[in-house]
Amino acid sequence: MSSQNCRTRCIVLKNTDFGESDRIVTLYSPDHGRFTAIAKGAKRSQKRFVNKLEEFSLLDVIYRPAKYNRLHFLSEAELQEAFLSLRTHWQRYCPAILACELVLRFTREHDPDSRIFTLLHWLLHSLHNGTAHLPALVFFLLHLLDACGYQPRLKHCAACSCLPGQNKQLSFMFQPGNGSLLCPRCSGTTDLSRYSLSLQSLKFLQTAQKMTINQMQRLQMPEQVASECLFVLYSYSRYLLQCDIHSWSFLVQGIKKPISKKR
Amino acid sequence: MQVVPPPLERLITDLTRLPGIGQKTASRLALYLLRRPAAEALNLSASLAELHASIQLCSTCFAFSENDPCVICSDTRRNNRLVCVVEEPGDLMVIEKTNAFRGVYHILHGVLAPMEGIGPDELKVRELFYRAESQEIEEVLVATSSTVPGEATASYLIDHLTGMPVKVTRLACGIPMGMDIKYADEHTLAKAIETRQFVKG
Ligand SMILES: [Zn+2]
Ligand SMILES: [Zn+2]
Repeated sequence: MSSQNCRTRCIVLKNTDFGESDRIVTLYSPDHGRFTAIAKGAKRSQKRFVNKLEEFSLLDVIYRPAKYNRLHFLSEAELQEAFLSLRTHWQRYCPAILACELVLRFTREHDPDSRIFTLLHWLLHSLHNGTAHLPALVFFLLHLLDACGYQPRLKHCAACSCLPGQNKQLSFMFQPGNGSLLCPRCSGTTDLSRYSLSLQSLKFLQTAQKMTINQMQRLQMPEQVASECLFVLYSYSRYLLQCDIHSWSFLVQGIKKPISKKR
Repeated sequence: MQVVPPPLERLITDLTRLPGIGQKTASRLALYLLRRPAAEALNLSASLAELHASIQLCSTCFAFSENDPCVICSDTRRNNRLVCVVEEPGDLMVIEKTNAFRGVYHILHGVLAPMEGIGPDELKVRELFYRAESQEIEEVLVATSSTVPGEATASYLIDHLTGMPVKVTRLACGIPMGMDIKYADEHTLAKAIETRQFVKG
């Protein structure tokens, strides 16, 4: 990699203080993928980086690629969109931070996929505009899994190939261990009841899987269906990542106690 | 062959655990201590040894203190019906330096950081709501930082405090003193306009 400055559009996934005055930011860009850069003096400097390197911000940055160590050197940042309501409404902050954590965990450094960037940008934008967060997260996670090559197989029972609804079953079981379905007959003695999907949820997932971002606005997913779908996709993600997804627990607390008297 | 004597090596390793201190700085500090008179190092070690034995959290405001309640909470000249909520003990110190605040504090010991697994249960949030419900305070001033997690934490607190018998205020956000407004970023400027102060009329 040359030491010439690179210019790219990106979203801030995470930022941490480093020493007295610097900041380390993890960014996702459509043409460079996930990368980490150091912003010298960002904690103190009033001019260059103030207010810009915050989580969720959409930036145009100029950075000097690293030569030996892994940290790139951020030289300039221009704020394009701040999505301010994602910080002033904690109910929007939780799903937004979960999305960033999922991108952090599912992607590798310098492995760009513009679909992931578009998906994340769409999600932050939708949450900022007040879109119901559970359906948006379902759509986001479903398509993130797809982009990472882990598309769940939701057409028919993985064992007997029967179609949902065909034999009057009320629900199917999802297998987080391999991302496929089992009908009640085939699930036999294995207890997968935690991962059961009603026919309605399954229909929504199948439809959402085929939809593009632009069509997504049309999908009206009831809250109950969305939370059932999201739990199943989360369990699958957790199995794939083999580690905890920390932001999940706070989101779940928020679902249980939805406090939003003020808008 | 062991080049660095084990006790020195141990000290260097211990120092690298401190925030912002790498291997290089740790070695420099350790060698500095070694070159100075032994009494200085002993003094430092005595202070370190005393730290956890003599300092505790104030059971009202959760500041680090030698006594419980702390000097601020037990100061009768202060307005204990006005509570300022801050993220860290360091924030209390900077507010105290201003001499502008005569109320008492509540230290959260962090901010909501879901990615690090820090939710309300990991902070002194329940304790704040308990204080707010107790009818002993009139106003809660939320003074968390204006960063994303700081604002999100403020929004969480404000949401929950609404409905409790207290007045809730938020630290104002505006143009730094001595700054030409041409250099202020648009969000700060917008916030300053939105939260403008009444002067006359
Ligand atoms: Zn089957
Ligand atoms: Zn106290």
